[in-house]
Amino acid sequence: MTASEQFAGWAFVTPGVAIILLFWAVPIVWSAVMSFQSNNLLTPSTPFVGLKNYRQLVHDPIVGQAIQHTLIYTALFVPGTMIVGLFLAVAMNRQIRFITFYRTAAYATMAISTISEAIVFIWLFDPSYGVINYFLSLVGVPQQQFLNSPSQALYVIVIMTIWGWTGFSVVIYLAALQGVPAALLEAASIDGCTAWRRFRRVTLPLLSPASLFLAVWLTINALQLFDEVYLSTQGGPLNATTVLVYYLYQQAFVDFNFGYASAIAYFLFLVILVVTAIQFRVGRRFTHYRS
Amino acid sequence: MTATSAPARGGIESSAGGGVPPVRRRRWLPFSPWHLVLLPATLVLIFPFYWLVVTSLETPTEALHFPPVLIPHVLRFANYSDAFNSAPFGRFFINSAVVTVLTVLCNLVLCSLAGYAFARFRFLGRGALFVVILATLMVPFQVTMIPQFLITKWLGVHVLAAVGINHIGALILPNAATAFGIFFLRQFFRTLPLEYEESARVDGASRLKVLIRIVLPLATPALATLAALTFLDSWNNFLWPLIVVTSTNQMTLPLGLATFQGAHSTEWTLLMAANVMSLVPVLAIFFLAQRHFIRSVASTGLAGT
Amino acid sequence: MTGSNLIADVEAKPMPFPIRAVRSCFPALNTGEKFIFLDNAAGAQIPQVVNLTKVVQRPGVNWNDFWVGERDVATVNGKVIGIPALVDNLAVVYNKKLFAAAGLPVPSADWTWSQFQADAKKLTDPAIKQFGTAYVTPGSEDTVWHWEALLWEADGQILTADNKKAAFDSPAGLKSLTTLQKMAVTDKSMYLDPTDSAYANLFNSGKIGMLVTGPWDLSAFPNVHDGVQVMPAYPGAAAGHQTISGPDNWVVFNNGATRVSAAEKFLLWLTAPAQVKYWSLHTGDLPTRASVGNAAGFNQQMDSTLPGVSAFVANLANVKQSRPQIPTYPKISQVLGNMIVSVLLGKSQPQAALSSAAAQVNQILAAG
Repeated sequence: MTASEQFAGWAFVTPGVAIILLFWAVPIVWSAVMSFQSNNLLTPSTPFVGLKNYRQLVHDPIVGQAIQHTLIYTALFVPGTMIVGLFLAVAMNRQIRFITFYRTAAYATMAISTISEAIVFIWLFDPSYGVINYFLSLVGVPQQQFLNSPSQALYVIVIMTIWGWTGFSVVIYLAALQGVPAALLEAASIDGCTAWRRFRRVTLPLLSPASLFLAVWLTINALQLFDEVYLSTQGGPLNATTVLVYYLYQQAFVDFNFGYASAIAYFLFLVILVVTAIQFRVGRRFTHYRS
Repeated sequence: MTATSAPARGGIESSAGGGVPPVRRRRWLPFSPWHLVLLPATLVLIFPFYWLVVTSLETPTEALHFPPVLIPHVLRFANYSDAFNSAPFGRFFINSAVVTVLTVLCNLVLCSLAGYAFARFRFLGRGALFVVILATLMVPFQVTMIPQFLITKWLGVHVLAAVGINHIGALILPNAATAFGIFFLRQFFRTLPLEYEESARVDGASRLKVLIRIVLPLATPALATLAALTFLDSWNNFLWPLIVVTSTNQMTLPLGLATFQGAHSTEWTLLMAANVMSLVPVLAIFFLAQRHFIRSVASTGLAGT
Repeated sequence: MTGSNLIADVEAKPMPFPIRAVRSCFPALNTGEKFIFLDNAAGAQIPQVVNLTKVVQRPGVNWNDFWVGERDVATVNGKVIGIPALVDNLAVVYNKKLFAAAGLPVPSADWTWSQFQADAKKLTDPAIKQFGTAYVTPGSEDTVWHWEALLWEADGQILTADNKKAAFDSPAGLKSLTTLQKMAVTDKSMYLDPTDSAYANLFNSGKIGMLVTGPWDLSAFPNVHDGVQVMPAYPGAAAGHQTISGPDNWVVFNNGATRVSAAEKFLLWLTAPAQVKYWSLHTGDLPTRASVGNAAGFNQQMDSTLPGVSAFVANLANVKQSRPQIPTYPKISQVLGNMIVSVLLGKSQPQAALSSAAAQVNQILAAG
């Protein structure tokens, strides 16, 4: 570490980092301060209330439910998206006709707006008129209530969001698959490995950095789920799809308890930080980088 | 399994052989069985696009149906001109274009600089700073947006009006560098072999010159990918412009689309027509950049290489 | 429009409805807006909101010309904080063709809830997926205010007169909730819509017989030959055919004395009878002033702008009271929303739901 390297380092990072610190880091600190205040966004008085918001958080039954829903959602969404994405990426990793069409279609789903996605899924899963119930009825399954059912609504949202994120997952995995050296695969097949074993023993480990990245990125996003809930069930029915960020939004902009909302946000932030750190730790043991 | 020889590119099976004539297995179907997986999967994925386009061409009579009409009897192309004329969409397009292009350019420059420094230079506080930057991705926007608003307002009043409330600058500046961009490029730069940069330094080039002359040309796939993703994000950004823009002249496309949603009813056909029009640039960029996606993500150290 | 020499630069900024809650916070942070369209009582707490009590007493303004429901909503703690901008109310929109097909007479002005239930049952046909009626179940205020109208018709109240305790846990509350329960759970004649948007398209597709909704939905039914009738009543209840309205107000923000006075002048002009009439006839929005709504020939003119809306105009006279204008109302609304949805989904019985909700509401009110 020479002085000129120090200087160069700081000179290079400063413009970008300054923007991020000013517009993102400062607000995060600010919201930490707000979490110790009582703030209704309307009147200028924002008295400090110490740990009141945090105590309220601990005793709030809806926060408990929201945490549960958020965790269940994340536990289903992250592996779900990774598996579907991996499967499709493997399927798309070949030069058959129309492959460009298939691939572009997968990427293009990243461009679709959440509101279009929500509208389509609301229709597909409509209890009376939706296509899903129609197909289920063909195999004798009675009409399901889906978004109308407190026990099913969250799972419909899982499916909706897996659909929305598949494109991204496919992009990552498809790219990672390019990096699996043919030589290794050939050597394995010469050694008598079946395709599945080759996949498990050679391909999957080489995909592990991509898997780690996806797991981390998807988890950070899953724990902050909001848009799809807002556009379809609005936290219902009966709070069944109330996840942490949705509850936070309600507290901030419907009930005008901004101090409390900041406390919830801070709590979520710490959760995400811890989960991500754990993922990196665990991931380090399972990922193989080519040196 | 099969003795089909694979070409030298890693991992890609080819049903048309390479140099050595492949031993063809007898196929059950006249085409690859993978089509049976890919075609339905793709149709499921792009179904909302179909619905979007169909709704944009329907008359309100058919659009306000539930279950939705998927094969309309009457097509109404006038929806597009109606949508375009119902609000100053030309203006919105220009605003969105200016904001997005400038945001992308700023990101390319600033994230390259910072990403390269994080990847290659050792300086005091590098580790901690990087963690702080990543941490900014972990707080929901619903909470940060109010302080961001207040900061933007303060800047507009005390520093430079063009970046204050209701100015295009306020839409660009907070997103001119993103944590994701820095993270993404840092990963990529780390996978480049050091030799090129080291030899250039030995030859007396400054670090900046090394970045510009040697590293960036090698990084075009990553830069293209970052550009496409930043484009998408910036073009579709809704919530931030919503709270910062207070007059019609400064509105961007997503805000323009929102004008079709009234308090109690939505003009679906016009909304979808406008939606399609606003999707076209994004899809075009995606189509152009898609070749680069694979190569760049492959090289960001996310793959086995 | 003439007489608009006051207007220099009025920026009408369209705001998607759900985001209005977010946007309404920012005037408090002083972005220079002079007035804004605000529809919740919490907004009254913003210190820059101008007290218009004296302004509306000025000669020529005729404050009592505005419907009582509007005046109630514009007044918080005795202070007038807004001038009515928009008003609406709930009535029943029905599909004439479906009624004819089922051999039912169209609803008359003195019909009752039992008749509504019976009609809904007759209009329901699971084989063709047709429902008698629908109800929105996102649990938001939209869910709540539809029920509140029934509560009032059953001679009930939401809160006590001093807004200190819950009053809906009463025979009236039970009656009104049971009406909904019967249709949703027992008869299954009620389509439950958690998205708050599918019901309109369904009605337009001829799949729903009757809807309790407002005038804003009339333009969403181009395919249906519809009729409008006042909501049914409970026989024997003093309240009769009451309805509920959701007025929205123009609110003035203090950004300097000259701006305030200019804004007030503009608003008084905008809400004067001549402009109200012009606005209503050209947009189909209900008139905010009784003198305009009761004028001879007005209803025929309204019907030519938006067929069927005249029934809503006449229904404005049935707005006798309004929801509590207290800052804790949003929280109370959430409790009530959950109560109604849990009954509609068959997850709880009306009495139990009422008691539990009342306990929660009392807690909220006590916490202030």
